[in-house]
Amino acid sequence: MSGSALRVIAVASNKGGVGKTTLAVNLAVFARAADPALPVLVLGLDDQDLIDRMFGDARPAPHDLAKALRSGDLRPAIRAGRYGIHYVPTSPTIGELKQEVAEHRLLRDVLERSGWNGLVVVDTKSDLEILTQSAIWASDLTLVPVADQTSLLEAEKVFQLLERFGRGRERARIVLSLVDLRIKYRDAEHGDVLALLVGQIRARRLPLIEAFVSRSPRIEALHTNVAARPLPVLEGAPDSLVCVQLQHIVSDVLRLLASSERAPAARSERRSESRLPYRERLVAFRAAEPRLVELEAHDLSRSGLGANAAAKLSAGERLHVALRRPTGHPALLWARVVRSGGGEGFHFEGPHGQADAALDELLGAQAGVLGESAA
Amino acid sequence: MAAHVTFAASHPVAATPQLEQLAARLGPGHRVVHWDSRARDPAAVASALLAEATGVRPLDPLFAFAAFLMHLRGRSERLLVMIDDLDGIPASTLAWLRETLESSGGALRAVAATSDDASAARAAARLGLTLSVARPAGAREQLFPHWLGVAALCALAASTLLLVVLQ
Repeated sequence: MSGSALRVIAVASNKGGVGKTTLAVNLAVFARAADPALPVLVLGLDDQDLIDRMFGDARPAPHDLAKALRSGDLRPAIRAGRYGIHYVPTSPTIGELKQEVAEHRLLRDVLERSGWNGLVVVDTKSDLEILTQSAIWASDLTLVPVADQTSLLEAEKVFQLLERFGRGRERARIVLSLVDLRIKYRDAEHGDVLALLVGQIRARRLPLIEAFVSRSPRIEALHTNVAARPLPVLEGAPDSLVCVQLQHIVSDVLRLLASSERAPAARSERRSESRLPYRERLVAFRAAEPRLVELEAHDLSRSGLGANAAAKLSAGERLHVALRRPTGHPALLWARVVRSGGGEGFHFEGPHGQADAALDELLGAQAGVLGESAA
Repeated sequence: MAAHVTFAASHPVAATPQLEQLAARLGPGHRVVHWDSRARDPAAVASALLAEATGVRPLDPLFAFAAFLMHLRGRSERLLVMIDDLDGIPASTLAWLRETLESSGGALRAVAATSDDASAARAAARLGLTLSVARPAGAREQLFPHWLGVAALCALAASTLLLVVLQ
């Protein structure tokens, strides 16, 4: 991502308790860690002070976000905080502001006037009220945490709002949050909660970030300690699974922002969202016997592989899938088994790095052979 | 890197048990498979090795074998191929073995035995072996464990180990 441009990420959901603030603050910390030259600013559009306690302190501030938005000038309120993150102190009375604001362009206008050149992460209230709408309008990318079926149903409202704004659905991505893989279903078609939600998200054709965040008591405990200072995952649990998952999410988010900077941005993303015919005999490797499984692949996209497997696989099972490069050599990607409509699918786990390049190569070759009409 | 270790036994010994002993000394992380001497071409060899390692004979064994090695490499595991009749392998198949060893990034290792120095030299040239540990003069049966230890150390450092069993 270019450090010289204002780029805004909003984290929004109409449902509370889905991990919005945890995602927002950790996204900021990981993005800054990934690129120490990138200025990162965090704003919180509700009256909770977690952002202040994590990055600074919770003392009343002479300039807070409500005052800044009222005055239209963010600059006096921006503070340098821990981890190289800048933040604007949250306001205990920000709720009153929604009575005064009628224009959803407010936040974007204020941010542009502030001259901030870098990333802005906006945490929102669990309500699609005017301030949250303003954050979604201001954002280049909105992340919508989904932890269960209720929050998935609520997530649709964010995509409907984008459509009302005349913006495409690709301006938002669902992030599966607080996923508890201990939740299993007797119905073999769905397997576990991850497979169930992924299947339902795909059925609704909602864009999804490939990596997800697991539920973890260790991560939840980072918000409660003697010092009353919430810790980001990178400091409090750097060796945890969630830390790796967040790194993957941030990598994907920064890649999406970078691709949206390019004009015309849409082509690579459009290609990545489409499924292209990919009729190949492939193999995958699994933990259980038989360890090697043959696949008959039929289509491919950035998010996954459509295929039928020669052996019985469990929904949610993790496999190392070998795709065939145009050269004939294999490229391996980790994937999870997803079942829908009686067939099998392989949902890639957060393509990034080499895997991302391999997909670009494969999808590029497919598009080249088939032409744009196939997409 | 490849290694060439030569040792002699004072009486006729079979190559296979020596290779088994050597494999046992290489420790965990090595998945041991045996080269099927009936397999002549690379596809048949890859199919047989995959069948032993995974229980499946894939329809495209060369692609599947290359993918399997990448999979093992990602898990820091190795496939150790024991070849007890290197002399009987066709030159084209040896060339494939060499290429696969070199491209596997350490995921594939081979320990091979030959029956005399001349065939060892031929095989070494075809396998691209560069390091040679000289055969000690007058090695005796009681030195055998010691030389197995040396061979194991070489095998851990090398992608290929060539063992010459003089009978």
